[in-house]
Amino acid sequence: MNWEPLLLTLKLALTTTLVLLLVSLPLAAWLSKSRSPLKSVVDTLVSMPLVLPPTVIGFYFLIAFSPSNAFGQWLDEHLGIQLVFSFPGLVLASVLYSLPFMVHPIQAGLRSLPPSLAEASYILGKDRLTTFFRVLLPNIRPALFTGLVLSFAHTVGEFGVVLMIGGSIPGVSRVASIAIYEEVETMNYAAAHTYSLILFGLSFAILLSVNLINGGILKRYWR
Amino acid sequence: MMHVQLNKSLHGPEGDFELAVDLQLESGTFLGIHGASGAGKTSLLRMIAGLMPPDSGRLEINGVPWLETSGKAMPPQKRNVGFLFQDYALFPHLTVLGNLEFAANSPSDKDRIPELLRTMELEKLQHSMPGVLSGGQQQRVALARALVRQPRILLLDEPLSALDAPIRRRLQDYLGKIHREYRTTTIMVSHDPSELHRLADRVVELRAGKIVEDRALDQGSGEIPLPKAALKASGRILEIELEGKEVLLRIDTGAQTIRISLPATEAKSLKPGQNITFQASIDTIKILNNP
Repeated sequence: MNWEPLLLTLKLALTTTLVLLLVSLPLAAWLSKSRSPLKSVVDTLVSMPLVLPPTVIGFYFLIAFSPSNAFGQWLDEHLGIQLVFSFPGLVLASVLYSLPFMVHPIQAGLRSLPPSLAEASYILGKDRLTTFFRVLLPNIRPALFTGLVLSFAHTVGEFGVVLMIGGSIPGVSRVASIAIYEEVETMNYAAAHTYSLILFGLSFAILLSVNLINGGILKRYWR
Repeated sequence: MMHVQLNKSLHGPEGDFELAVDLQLESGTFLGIHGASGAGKTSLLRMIAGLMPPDSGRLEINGVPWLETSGKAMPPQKRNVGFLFQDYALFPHLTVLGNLEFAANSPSDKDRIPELLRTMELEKLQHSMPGVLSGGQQQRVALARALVRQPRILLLDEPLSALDAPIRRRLQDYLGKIHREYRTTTIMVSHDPSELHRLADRVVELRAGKIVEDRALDQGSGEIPLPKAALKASGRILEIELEGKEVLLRIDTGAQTIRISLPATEAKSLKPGQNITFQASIDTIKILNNP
């Protein structure tokens, strides 16, 4: 039994979720407040991965960052960054691909708070950043939790994007979903079963925990 | 002294209108604002607090400009006002004590918290979360929280409108008590004139953004038990006479001329023509005739 694909999946999902959190907090905060005409455009772009085939994202990613292109070449020569067929590239593509799963819950959570909450904090002398971290975020914990878990789970379930830009390099881009595909291709059903069952169990456990925690059943035990 | 001069185009239930308010307010005044909904009452408070920018105007508190349309407006964080929202706006993730501590920006603010909890009778509730409190209790917490920083101005935006009559009455007593104790300049918006008549010493009516009535009220008359009653009035010094070690001030309050004697050493900064407010404790009131 080769655990590497599963460990790689977990590593990718954890890294992606962390990066997503850092990117999504300011983005969701801006989207939840902005009245700029740019907002609809950004909102739409964030939602695109929901409807777009992952292969489309992978394809454009491939074109944009391929070392045979001007931009990809520049990144390679000047910064030593290779985003195609590499783990950092996989993280970047996964971040784009799972963006709505993190941004939307946080955005909805922030919008559900009454404006007087932030205003009361301003009037009590607290600046925007303090207000955001000490008043707004603690009051959208369920939304934050949903965003974290869904992004993680969605990244675990990634296939098309990884296949397009990562290929199947063991230890670099051969995540569990790719490994399953390859095991089936080579008629190695036993291995495919093991990976599949573990992914199934993991996803079930993750989603169940979201439902239980946000449904309030676990609130007594989890604070 | 507070000078409010604000203009803003607003959308009301009967179309757009122009809010244009020019108010001078003595320090320590309890000003009541009433008027139909959509008259611009809340907008006026929000502009004073810095939560809403006016189209043009000036705001000056004790000689400090808070807002001049030509220059930069002072942000709400720097204004040090207390604001009571209609929905209380307590932080749901913090306890009663946590809400008050959040407001404290200095050690002296923090020292004030136990006293405020006592005054507002919240000591037993201090470790409760706001979600489990009744509306009246929540508004008491909000009032205590607004007072932690000893605001220069207390702005009350229909703070009692969501409460039923008996609790309303008790909260009114709290507001009156707080105002007597801290003498904070207070502006309270309400659609209920009788509530304002109980508390305010001056009441204005706002109609479609304009002040249509401005009345000084005689607060506290007719109340017989007077453990802590105070006389508060304002007027212009007409004359200062020296009588030995005492001086006698003659003050025109608009309604009457009043004489006050005080030690000459304390009266050095007083000059005829100055507008002043003065306060005295009253121990008895005699009813001279019943109409």
